[in-house]
Amino acid sequence: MTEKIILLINRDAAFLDQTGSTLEDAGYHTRTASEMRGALALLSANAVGLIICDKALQDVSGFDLLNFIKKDPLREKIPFMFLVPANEQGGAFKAFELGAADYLVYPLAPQILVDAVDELFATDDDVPLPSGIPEAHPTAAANGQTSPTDDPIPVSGLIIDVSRDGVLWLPGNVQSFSRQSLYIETALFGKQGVSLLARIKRADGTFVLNGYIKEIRFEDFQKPAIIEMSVQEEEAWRRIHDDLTQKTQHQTQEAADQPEVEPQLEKTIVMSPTGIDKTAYKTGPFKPSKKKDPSYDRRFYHSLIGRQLDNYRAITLIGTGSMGGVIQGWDVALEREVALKVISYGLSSKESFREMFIKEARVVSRLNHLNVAQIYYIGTSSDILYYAMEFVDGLTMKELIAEQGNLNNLKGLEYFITVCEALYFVNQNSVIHRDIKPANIMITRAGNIKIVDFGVAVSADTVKKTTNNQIIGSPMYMSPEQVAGLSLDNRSDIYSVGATFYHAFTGQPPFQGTDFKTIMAHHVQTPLPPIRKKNANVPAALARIIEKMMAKDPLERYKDFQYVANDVKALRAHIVDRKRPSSRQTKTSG
Amino acid sequence: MDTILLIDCSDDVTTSMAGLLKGNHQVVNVSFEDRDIPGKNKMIILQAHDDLDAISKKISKIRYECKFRDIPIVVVKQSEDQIPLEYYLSSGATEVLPLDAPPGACRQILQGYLIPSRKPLESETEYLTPFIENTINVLKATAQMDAVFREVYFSNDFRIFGDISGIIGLSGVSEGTVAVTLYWDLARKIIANMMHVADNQLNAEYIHDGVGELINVISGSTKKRFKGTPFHFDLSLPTVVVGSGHQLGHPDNSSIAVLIFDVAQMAFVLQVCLKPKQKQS
Amino acid sequence: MLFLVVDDSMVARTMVNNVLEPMGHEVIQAGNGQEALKILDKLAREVGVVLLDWNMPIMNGFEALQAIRSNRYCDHISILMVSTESEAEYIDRAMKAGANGYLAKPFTKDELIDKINSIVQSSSE
Ligand SMILES: Nc1ncnc2c1ncn2[C@@H]1O[C@H](COP(=O)(O)OP(=O)(O)OP(=O)(O)O)[C@@H](O)[C@H]1O
Ligand SMILES: [Mg+2]
Repeated sequence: MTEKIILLINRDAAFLDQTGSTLEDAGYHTRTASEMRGALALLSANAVGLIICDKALQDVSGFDLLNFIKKDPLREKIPFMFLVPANEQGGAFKAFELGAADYLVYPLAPQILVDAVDELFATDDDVPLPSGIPEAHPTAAANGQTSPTDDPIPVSGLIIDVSRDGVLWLPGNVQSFSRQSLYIETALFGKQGVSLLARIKRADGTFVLNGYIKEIRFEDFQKPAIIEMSVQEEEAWRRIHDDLTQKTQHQTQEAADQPEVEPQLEKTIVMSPTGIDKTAYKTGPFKPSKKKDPSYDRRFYHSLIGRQLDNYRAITLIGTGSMGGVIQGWDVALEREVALKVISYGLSSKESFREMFIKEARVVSRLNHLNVAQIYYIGTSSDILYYAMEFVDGLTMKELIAEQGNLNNLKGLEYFITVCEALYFVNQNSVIHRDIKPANIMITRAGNIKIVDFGVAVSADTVKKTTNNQIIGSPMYMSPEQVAGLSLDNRSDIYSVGATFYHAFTGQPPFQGTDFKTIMAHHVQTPLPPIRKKNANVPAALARIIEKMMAKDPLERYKDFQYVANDVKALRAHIVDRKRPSSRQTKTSG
Repeated sequence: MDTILLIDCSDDVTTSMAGLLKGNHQVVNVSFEDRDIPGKNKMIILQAHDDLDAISKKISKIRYECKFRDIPIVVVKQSEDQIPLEYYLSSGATEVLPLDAPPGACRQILQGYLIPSRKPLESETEYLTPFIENTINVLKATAQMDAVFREVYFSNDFRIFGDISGIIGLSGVSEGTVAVTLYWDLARKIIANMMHVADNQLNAEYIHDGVGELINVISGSTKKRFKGTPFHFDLSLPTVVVGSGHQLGHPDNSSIAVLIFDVAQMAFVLQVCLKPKQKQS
Repeated sequence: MLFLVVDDSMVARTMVNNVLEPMGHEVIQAGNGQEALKILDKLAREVGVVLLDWNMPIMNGFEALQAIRSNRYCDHISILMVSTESEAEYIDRAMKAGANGYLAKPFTKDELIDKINSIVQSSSE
């Protein structure tokens, strides 16, 4: 509370006057009311710290008012002191039952009143200030329910998210916790009684806890406050609570084992009142996994958002890859959406790459095919190398696989055929893609395929050999000859399309491994794991097509994409035919 | 020629920065005390030193003096400085570069921030105009103050710099977040006017509450202008946040419009991030 | 006349309070619909006008409006919705549910005074 206002409620105007001035003289601010309605008006307009109320008011009885206030989550915590006439002290017990903090008998000596009020506020001041770790929960202590296990246990470095509406989340630094409550330091300002959500990210998942703000304490209104969040008794919370308790004990143990950690220093950081950001940097078992700084490339792409490069307004960063970042843009001259691929600083600072890149992009920009994302423009603006291409409003096949598990269905076959036909056209025009993979095949909202990132891999390739084993792109779909650094033809693309659809139909890439080198070695040496071992539902004929595309020796693969497309089309016709109800009895499944 | 202001930079840092910026800009190095009005500079580069608290205060101070303008503040730190970027960013820095960062990367990042801001797209203007008009209306009607819209820039980082912010989540046909951010003095003045009391009669609790109400009324009155358009939304309850440097979660792939207003010789911003679920045709 | 001003924002309540009091009215405040209903339980007879915000935690203004209108002890009370929700369909719903007037936020002091005067006038007729 900012200032402690005492609300005096009594029918007797003279009493109010007199008691009011006694308290004002003792240094308290007072407001007075003679009936419930006035009292409520004052309560809603002031930060009242104590209510002193007579048994009988002008409109209702004092018990009614007490009862009303104790049921109001916003006001239940305001201490309520009851005044009863000397001959009616029986009423005091009723008042205690209803939750009154104290009662006084009148006629009343001024000093007794001031002492009683002082005492009440003094216990209140014992509540630790916001910067401290809360000790026992004040109400629990007052109710005499304190047991050792209920004492809040201090923690450090436990960062969670808090929200009022589940839409907007802000960080909170948990200072301590008990079975009922989380004490959270946060900049999110709430009011007593409002509901609050706490989101805790853990190894076993993300949990959202429901609760409300039981108390809010702050030293400085311009700084984060400490919120006591009363947490709803839920299975998730029980589990987290027990786990935290265990970890904390462990932590104390560890701290005892490590005398070099200077406890005093640790403490000042923990209690830094400004510090929800800073406290995250200290050590401890709850230290959030150190978030890696974004890469320089990412930061570079970010610096371009909200700017204008030549004719292109940069709207938002869509994604990043190994060669560059893709930004959604707007062409002010032609008034259309574009995707801007900004080349990473590592590649663009190499003169050889720049030349190659521009040359290749020029060739690709002449390709004109419905399923090839067109290149509109290549340029350098303020030393930044980029190209503008057709904006594809949709998902990549990578995202689609992640979403659906696999694409082993007719739709998947359609995509397969379309990709093969598009690449046949491209290869006919003497262009090899070199980086076919699920992330470079996009599907528009309307369901059309667009292959992106054409030809760029060629130039990247030339640099690749010079940059010490920094591989451009994902090795998961690379042909063996590409791994070996040999010269490539269309059959390298055939291998990569095979690998891509191996992944699409089974939900898994053909080879797995923890590092680039292992996967690349697999492409060269390891026999392809049979597709139907990974997904038995893939038709045998389809498995054969893909396995042929992925033969280690280019000579054993299809000669060109037209042959692949033809085989897949035949397969599709067969499947469609078989699915037709009339033919089901006549044909047996193979 | 644009000026790039270097503050507290050593000779080495000054030389390397001038080298990176390729002489297209006038590079001036001054001490923190001698710095001039940030508004004249295209970029401010500050060298970090050991006193973390002091550097954080310096960044906040410069950020405050920028009056919400889109002036990048770049912190250059020692290679062995292990303090996470977030520490500097939350004080108001735009970017942090360690001395051992690849020069190629630094050059491109600095170049990026020096490119002029873009103008809003037509579709953005369509939803920003009602927000601008209503912000002005609300201040006029409730606080009897004349706010003037100064400029807009776009960012893809929803971060607030200021003393207090009222934030409201939007959901429905469009999704997003709107936030009003003010420095303390202006917040106090506006809320006092809203309540028809003198500013010294206000305690901070009123200011917190009032800033929540302010964003509530701004977004509520704007919402009805979008009835029947792809920009329509429903309101959640306002959240009030104190302090600066908070990064707010926001939907991916969105751009945040930062609208700057001047009022009573002070400035405040309204940040709008609005994404129609259904793409406009 | 006694006014019950219901709004979750203390500032919004005080703003109205500071306009009503100089007009010679008395004001009680409540922070949400539930609080308002509790107050009306005790003071229905005294309250002449209820000012209701729409978006509030715990119980919103529309729910409170419906509850007040289903309470026969509150028949004499005039209800003015004061809300940022001011699309036609909201106004329609409120008026159908028994509101006597609708004031969209933001409003100027004069707009509030006019609205109050017309409500007071019609309720004393
Ligand atoms: N033309 C485009 N239109 C719309 N979004 C695109 C376009 N091209 C790429 N994207 C999006 O941008 C993301 C990043 O693309 P990018 O090409 O940089 O990465 P990648 O394909 O994963 O890797 P690589 O750099 O090896 O190609 C893609 O995952 C895709 O979602
Ligand atoms: Mg790509």
